[in-house]
Amino acid sequence: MTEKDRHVVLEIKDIAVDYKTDHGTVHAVRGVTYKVHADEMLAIVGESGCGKSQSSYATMGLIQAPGEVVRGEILFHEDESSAPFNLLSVDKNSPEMRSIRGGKLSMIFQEPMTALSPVHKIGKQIDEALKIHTDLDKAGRFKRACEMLTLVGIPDAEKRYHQYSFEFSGGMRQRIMIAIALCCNPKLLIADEPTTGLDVTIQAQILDLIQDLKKKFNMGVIFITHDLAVVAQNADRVAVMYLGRIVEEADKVTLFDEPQHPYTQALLRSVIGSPLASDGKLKTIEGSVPGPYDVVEGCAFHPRCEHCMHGLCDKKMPDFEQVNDKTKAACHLFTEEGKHHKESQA
Amino acid sequence: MKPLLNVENLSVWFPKKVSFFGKPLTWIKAVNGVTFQLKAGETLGLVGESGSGKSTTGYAIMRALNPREGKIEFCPDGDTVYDLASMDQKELRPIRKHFQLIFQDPFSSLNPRMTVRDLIAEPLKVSGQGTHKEHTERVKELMAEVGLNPAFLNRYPHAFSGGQRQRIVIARALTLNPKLIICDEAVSALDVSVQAQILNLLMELKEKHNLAYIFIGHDLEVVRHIADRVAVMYAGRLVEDGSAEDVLTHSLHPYTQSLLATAPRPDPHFVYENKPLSGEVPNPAALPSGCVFHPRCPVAKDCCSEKVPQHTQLDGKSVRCLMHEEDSKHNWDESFSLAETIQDD
Amino acid sequence: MSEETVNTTTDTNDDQSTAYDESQWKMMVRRFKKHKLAYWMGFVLLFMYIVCLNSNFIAPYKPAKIHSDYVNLPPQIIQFGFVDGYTLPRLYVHPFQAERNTLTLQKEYSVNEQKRVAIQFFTEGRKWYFLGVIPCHTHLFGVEKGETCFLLGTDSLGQDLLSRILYGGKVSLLIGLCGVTLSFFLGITLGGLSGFYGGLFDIVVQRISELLQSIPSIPIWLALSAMIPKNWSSLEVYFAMSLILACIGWTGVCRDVRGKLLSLREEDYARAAMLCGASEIRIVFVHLVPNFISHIITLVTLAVPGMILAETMLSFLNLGIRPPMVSWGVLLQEANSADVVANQPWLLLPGLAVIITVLAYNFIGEGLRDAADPYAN
Repeated sequence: MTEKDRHVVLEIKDIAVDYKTDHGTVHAVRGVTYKVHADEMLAIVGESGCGKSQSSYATMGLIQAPGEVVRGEILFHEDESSAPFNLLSVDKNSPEMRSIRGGKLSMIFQEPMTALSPVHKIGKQIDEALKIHTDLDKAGRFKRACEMLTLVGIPDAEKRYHQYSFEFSGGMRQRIMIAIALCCNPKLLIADEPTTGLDVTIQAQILDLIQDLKKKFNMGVIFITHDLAVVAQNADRVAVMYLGRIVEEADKVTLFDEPQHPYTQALLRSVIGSPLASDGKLKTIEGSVPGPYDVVEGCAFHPRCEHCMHGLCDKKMPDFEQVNDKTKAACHLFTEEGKHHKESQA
Repeated sequence: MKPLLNVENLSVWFPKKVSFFGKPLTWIKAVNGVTFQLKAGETLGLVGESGSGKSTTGYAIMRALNPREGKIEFCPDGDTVYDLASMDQKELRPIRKHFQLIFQDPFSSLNPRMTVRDLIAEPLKVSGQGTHKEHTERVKELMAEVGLNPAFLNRYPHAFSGGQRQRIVIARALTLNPKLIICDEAVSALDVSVQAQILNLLMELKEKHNLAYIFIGHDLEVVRHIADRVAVMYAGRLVEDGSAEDVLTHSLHPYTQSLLATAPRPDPHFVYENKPLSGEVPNPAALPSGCVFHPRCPVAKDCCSEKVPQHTQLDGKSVRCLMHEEDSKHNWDESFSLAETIQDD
Repeated sequence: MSEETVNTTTDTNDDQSTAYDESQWKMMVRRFKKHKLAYWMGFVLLFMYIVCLNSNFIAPYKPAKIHSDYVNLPPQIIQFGFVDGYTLPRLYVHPFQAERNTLTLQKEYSVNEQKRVAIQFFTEGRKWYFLGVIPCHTHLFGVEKGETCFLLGTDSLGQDLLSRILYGGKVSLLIGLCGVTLSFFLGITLGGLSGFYGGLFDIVVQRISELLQSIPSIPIWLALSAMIPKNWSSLEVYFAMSLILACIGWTGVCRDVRGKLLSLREEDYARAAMLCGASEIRIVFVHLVPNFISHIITLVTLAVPGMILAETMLSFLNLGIRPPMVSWGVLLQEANSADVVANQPWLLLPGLAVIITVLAYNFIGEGLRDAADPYAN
């Protein structure tokens, strides 16, 4: 199936998020565009502070003051025939948004310890989500809750329904979070670092589960992570973010085998165990990520880039566009202007 | 030449339930009978899942915890041997300069109310060496060594990023020229590219100062990169140790094998042949009988729940698995190939 | 999170590098200033303390001075205009004139609209001692000899309410501080030792503080203040009062200090200090105390209004400060009947002073609490 045929669940168009603080405005996201298809896992990768979670938070209506979505559109396609719905056209606390959030759109977080209420039975917490988003009766909800618990690999569901979150281990809690997130058959699951802090073997179990459920529910998954190993193992498509922008997007194998953007290349070289990394002394990226209040003209990566073209990269921000038939990237090495610049320099 | 560190039969237990008169009734057995040696200038990677007791072992060697039994023989100058396990905190104070700890979280391990200068100079002040001016000189020297701008002497930790904070922690650990540094998940809280920078720094410093590291971590790729020797822990026991290359490529213990087989790699072409291990690390207050790994072991036999495996020396590695013990080997078929069994599972 | 190396760190721009060098106190002040209400309340409180502590200079009369010809006078309104005998316009008041009612034979007061009494500044008056030693006669304001002015009215004995509020404020505002200082001292010492040594000492201290907290505070105050001998001088009563308030007040501070100490000991940096070979005492005083001192300051600020209210209440019930010494509680005794509230509402003004002070302390405390943890975000 080509990309065109597949049902697009979520379309993010040129989203920008600003945070206004005492020291000035932080442009957390500076124009991000991507699509998620049904039965596809899009991984958004980046280092901390690059704004990788922000576009998803905007989708879920979770951007809190002093943060603000300043431009862009978030189009949600419930199914192939229905008209797209711009999530930003309604207030984030409106009834429409509330019925979508947690129902059609679900999210799981990094901290399974704090995301569950310690004073409510875990079954009741699933029940709560079902009560809001479905019209099942009490018995129906209980049945569904138990089904979900079984589905996410919690044995003895009817008994565990009545237990509290502290009676479960970290991995089990993350499974419960997944059960709550998926109980209303969402079209899109946003997983924000769901396995960070879990052990390797538990992480592998959870990732396996998300993969299975993705197929089963035919849902799109946005997987936000900093861990390239997890991405290489699980994602279908990968978007790499740097300082509030997507710098490169491609399918997984292309991205790892033929990274185009200098940042992606440098990042992959610095990851221990990746085929591009060297033994012994690791190649690291020179310099540092600019601070949140620093203003970088042109391409945000140019001060650290080994291919930086002076007079262009430090003046104009490159567009995010198709650079070959597989990859989209934002780099002047591939833009017309960049080519002209190079020629004129030569 | 005596080894720098000789840990023998180290156990750390915490009381779980205490009787009315303060006598412990049940114990959390965090570390049980751990034995290993470390030469000067060598890096030992200590790997395992959380709850495996790897950090507890590190803290016990640092004597931030009191071991229940065992010996921790530390020989900083190749001559005098101190048994850290039997010394009290007061006796330890003068020799603490020889061994230092780098914490996992660079945000909590630096006192937010002290400047970088005060943080790095603290060990000097505590040991009463030098004047204020000499301290400042030493701090500047150390900051330059770990890649920080010495002009930032008077800044507070909140002005630094995670990677820079970890550099401050490293500088503080180096202040008194230690022989041994225990790195407790020293890079796992950092970003990928920063991880690489810190690992490079640690390796450079090791060469320069002939440091020995105990590198505690859960990321096998990172440990493979930095360690000379690797010890794998599971539920408070050492299950396998040997040279890094040996343990991480030709492992003998089924636990190490499954860890290696399922750990994600940053390589999209890597084929994961096995399903991840089912179940979780056992509760250290109620460890399974026999081999602690047997409830999750893909190749466990009946004998595994009865007999506690002992260290067996094999191919230059030390492994604790009945499958490799002379007496119980016969339970596994001779033509048995472990890899196949795991694949079938 | 960014990662900087030596080569690139120098290019940080200047306005930020000053922010990076900021110490905790500077950060606290900056954040406190952001809390506008608390910031301005700070000035209000400062003003009240300056005014009340200089009551000898500012108040036109002694608090106990009785003007038997002028009882229950309402406040006077200060006006601005020409006064006979002065070329320039100035502040003046209309004096009261007394007339015997021929029917009831009671004195009745009316404002003499014709007469203007000029208010003079830095006039000579009764003797007082600057800093307690240097004799002075100058007062902030007054009127010509033979005339009187009662800006806030008088009470049933003809005592000037303004003077009484100022003198009373001195006692009320200071007793809060004294009480808090004492309870602060007790609390930190006991809480610190309790958290530091633990064991039996800890158990005993904690049980005592629990016991004190479980006894209803009003009866215990009543009991303790009833024990103050009637023949004690005002000053002795004053100190006894602050001691009584402190005896009850230390428990909160003690528990807080102990709890903070115990939780901070578990922090990685405390452990790091231990692993550097630092002694226990050094860990506590060099590493831990600076981390919660700002928290304690907040706690203390929030405890002062409680002390002031307690003093007011006890004095109101005639169990605290006793006349001739005045405090706001003593002044409020006057306003203890419906008749007073209806006919002489200005006698409630000391209550207003209490309210302003307590609110100011609470707002400042809140501002400090927000500012105290500059690393929260």
